[in-house]
Amino acid sequence: MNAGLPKNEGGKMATHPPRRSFLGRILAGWAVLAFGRFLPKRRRPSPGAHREAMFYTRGEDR
Amino acid sequence: MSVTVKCTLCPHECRLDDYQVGRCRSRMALEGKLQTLVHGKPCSVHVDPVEKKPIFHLLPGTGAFSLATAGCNLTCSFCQNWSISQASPETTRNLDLPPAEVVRLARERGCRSIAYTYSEPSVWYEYMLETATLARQAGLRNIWVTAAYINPEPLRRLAPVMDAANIDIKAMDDRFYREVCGGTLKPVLAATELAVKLGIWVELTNLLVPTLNDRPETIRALARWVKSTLGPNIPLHFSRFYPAYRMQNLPPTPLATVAGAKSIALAEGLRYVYTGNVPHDDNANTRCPSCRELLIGRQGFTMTGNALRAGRCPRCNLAIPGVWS
Repeated sequence: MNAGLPKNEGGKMATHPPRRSFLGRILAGWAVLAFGRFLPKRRRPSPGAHREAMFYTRGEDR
Repeated sequence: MSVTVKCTLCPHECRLDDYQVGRCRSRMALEGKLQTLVHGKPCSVHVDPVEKKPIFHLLPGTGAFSLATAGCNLTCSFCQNWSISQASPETTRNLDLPPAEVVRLARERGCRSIAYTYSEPSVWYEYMLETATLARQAGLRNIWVTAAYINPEPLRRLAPVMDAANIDIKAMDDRFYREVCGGTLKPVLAATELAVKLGIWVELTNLLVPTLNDRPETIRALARWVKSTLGPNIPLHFSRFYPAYRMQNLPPTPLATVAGAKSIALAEGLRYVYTGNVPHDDNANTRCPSCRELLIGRQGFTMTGNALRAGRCPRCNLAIPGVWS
């Protein structure tokens, strides 16, 4: 009847999942980087939208 | 070594290295030149009643072809259009609408004017100027809905093709501008004064944000400045705030505050004071300041009647300022 619920062991309830191991964190980070390339990219304005602006001055090199 | 570029369009005067974008998000330095990123790329296009701008003294009851690109040079925490004004052009869904196409569509839809609105049109200055120039040649009027955070020189260049402006004065309080809007008050007042001098028909809006800019002293200071600097014929619209963007914690402006603001402005001698975003009543009607005759009736954004005769009151013949034909 209580299947799936945390077991009451020694009077303490399990309140959070076990901490992810160091190796687990490394693998998770690698997975984000590896699969991130498949996420949609930010859309850039098309080249036609670029136009030299009015009202600016060119400064010194720095 | 890279060449820095200083944008002189607005009082921020952003200094940008290559590939840096200004505070407006719509102007970028590229190989020593400043580029606009939004020319011909509006993200919002609608046909609105001109009353929605709000502009009450220009061709009432007509349609205004309204458009906007992404970007704004202010960062008002209460912005009602923040989803486009505080967005970068690469994150909005944009149309491909060159200036000539805007004018063609405006005429096709029977509009008498084109409104540059919703976000801050000053930051898409080149698109606005080119469209307004073509619109003027096609016999359309141009309306600039702005916070007037712009330098004098660009404004002088824009004025010959701009018929009307609704300028949003956020508060007569520099601290409010700095802390809530990311700007300063002085350039806004200077630009507003210059716009009137350059012959643009100017109407003002003041959004009343509860506890921040709705004190009677602040409202009185605005009304006094308008009357003494611009004259009593400049229409002033007090607009009711609704929770938006970063100010979801504040309630809508109490109706009594909006009504009180109108009373203060009228008592200070302004002749045309309106309230917006409030339930329908007499507050959106234009009455003759001399004989109180009802001249233009409005229900929300809809004109219900126009009794003006060639821009004059039919009863006492007083000339009512505005652009009526």
